[in-house]
Amino acid sequence: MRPDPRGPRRTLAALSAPMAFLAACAAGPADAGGSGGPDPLVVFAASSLTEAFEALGAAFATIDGGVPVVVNLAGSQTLAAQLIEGAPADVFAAADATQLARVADAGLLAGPAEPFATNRMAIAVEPGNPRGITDLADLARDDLLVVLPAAEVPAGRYARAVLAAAGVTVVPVSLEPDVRAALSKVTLGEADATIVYTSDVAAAGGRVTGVAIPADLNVIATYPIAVLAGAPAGVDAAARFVAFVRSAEGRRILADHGFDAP
Amino acid sequence: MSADLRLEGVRVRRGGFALTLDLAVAAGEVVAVVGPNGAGKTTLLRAVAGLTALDAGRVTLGDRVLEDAAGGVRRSPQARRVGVVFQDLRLLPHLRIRDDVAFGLRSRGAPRVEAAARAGEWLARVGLGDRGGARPAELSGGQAQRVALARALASEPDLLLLDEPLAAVDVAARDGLRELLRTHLAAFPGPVLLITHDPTEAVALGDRVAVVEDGAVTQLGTPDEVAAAPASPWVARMLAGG
Amino acid sequence: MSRRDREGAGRRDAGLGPPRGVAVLAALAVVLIVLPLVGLVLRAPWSRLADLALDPAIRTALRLSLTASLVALGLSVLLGVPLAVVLARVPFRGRRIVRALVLLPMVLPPVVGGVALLAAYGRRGVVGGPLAALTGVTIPFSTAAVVLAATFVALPFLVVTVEGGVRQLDRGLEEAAATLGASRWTLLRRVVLPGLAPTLAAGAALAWARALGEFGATITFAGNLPGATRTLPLLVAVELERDPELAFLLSLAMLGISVAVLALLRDRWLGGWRGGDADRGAGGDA
Repeated sequence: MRPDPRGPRRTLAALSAPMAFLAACAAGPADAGGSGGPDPLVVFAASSLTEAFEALGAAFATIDGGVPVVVNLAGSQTLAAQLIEGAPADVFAAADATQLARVADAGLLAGPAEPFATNRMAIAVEPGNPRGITDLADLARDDLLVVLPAAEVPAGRYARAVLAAAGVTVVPVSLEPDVRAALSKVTLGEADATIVYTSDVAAAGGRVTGVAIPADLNVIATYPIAVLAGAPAGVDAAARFVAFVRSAEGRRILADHGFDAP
Repeated sequence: MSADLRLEGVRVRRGGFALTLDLAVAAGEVVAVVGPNGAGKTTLLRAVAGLTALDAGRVTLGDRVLEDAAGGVRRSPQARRVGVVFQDLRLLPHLRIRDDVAFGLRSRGAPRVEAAARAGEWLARVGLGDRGGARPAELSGGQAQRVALARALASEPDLLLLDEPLAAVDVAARDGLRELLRTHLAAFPGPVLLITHDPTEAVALGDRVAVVEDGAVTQLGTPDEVAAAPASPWVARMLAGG
Repeated sequence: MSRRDREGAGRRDAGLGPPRGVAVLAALAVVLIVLPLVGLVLRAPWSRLADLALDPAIRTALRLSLTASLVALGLSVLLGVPLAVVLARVPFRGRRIVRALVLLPMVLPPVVGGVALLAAYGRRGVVGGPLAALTGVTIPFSTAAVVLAATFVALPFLVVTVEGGVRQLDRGLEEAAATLGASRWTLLRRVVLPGLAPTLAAGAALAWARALGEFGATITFAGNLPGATRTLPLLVAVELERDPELAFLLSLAMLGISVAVLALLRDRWLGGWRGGDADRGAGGDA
């Protein structure tokens, strides 16, 4: 059978449309600050801060002296490890003091860390709570698939503290690398329940149902933020962003996303 | 028990070439098929062995129909009980030759011990009784040829096909091997088709000689007849030179 | 090498070998690959080598990885060899499409593979949904899920290697065996499979290495729990954030395993299983 000479040309033509699409997608966000304007600020933020920091970044870009903000989101322990390995960033917003201390111990901070928000824990279950989970003790049920953030993740530490306070032993089926990954297992329907921040339950909207944890068993998660030494966009710009986050306006935006004042 | 081989109206197309012939080989008879390369000799062998389908015609062995193109009958090579010595020998490279010779017997269900014994006998008959543990790669061309012969005969076929049985052998060993072949062919009860490009070989080993050129039989007769009055200039040339 | 040999080599090459620029680029390619490996060897804490055997988390992950990857290998061989034989020998309609689909996991990003596995076998999956509803059995978060993810990525490697091997088999041997009365099963068992042995070994080594190294699909589909689903690669990712030195050590260990696998392969894969034949050109050195 002779090879069809039109074959390769057809293949190229067929590939060009999806390739162009992918290229357009890739080009998108990078152009936001790129051409000719000031350097964008690189902020490393815990994954529970996803929506809040997107809003804070957008707001900061419009104010006087503000610059565009690019946010890198992951578990705080992942971000800390990346910073210690030399990742360039201007600001670090962690979900607990432990992870921020690791970065401080590595000599990477330009100044002391300051708290900017607090959060509490909640149980997240599938919409409508089909398994009838009403309290922490229910999480120990044999018939449930429960996931938790891993122990090094701040949310994981808080979750374990809450469970310990309630005297409940949970055998999770998976230890997820950040709080949003744990949440996604529930939204995907693969797990019945997990423990995340109350702000995460709010951010997920109708995709999860929240079950409250009694105040006397709950923990208060305190989020610290710090300017990083060697900030590529400059320590001044970084400090202005931190100030903005801790200002009344910043606190209002954080409150909109389910966070409390520090 | 032994039966005659009959090829009636056989036609096989291979690429742009067609082989057509009618031929009968009696039980115990050796018909040497000779012709230049590309004449269709190997196609003939493959058709009789069941490796290539007929486009037309019938192949029968006694009252068993091996293939009937019109009637839609085609027996697999396994079912034809044919012993084949291929031009490229095709000894199984990962087997010791005693296991290779026993292969046909084992495939047909013979118990291991009995098959091993018969294989050993056949290896001895071709002069390789003490080399049973060797692998094909360790043998000379002539030795490998003898193993191929033993393997075909050991499975006790009803019909024997040989393709250029002396081609792999160097001149020095050729005479000895030809004698061995003559002995075993004479002892074989069924029909034998022997393919060769060498008319002197055909004349030496065949009871009858069939000359095939361009896909058709151009002469069929005893060796004396063909040698005395070769119908084809090619045959005349080869016989004169040999 | 004597002067005569060198001159001989020049005469043999005589304007026919690749241009010098090609050699420079080739050297760059080698550096690109080798440098990270050298970095790993240099940065790993060799003083903690004993941890590889003593640390219980490592032992657990190692045992899990070995078990799961070997089971995945077994499944890949059991299912992959027949598929390779069919793809190579049985001309059916849509064969090319089937082959392309089966090889897809080789080019699919692993995490995408994990998402796809969830879509099929997850609790709301096409198969997993009914399965959970009818039997209460869920696949994700189990060691079985680890095996499934590993098989998903490893099977294509085995198929592609063995199919190449099947195509290179000498059909003449099978014809000879058929005339000797060998049934289809006997042909497969006594002629085809022994002929495939070297290629099968190469395909198996490749598939096993791939199964051992799988990360994206595993963490997405099977989860990440010590003992049940935290394989060695997952442990490396976790330790990188907790105890980076240990992560480097583990990475070094996995590098060692990979080197051993390559040593097993020794040139014999993707059909080039008579390794070194390319050297024997028209000049005839052998």
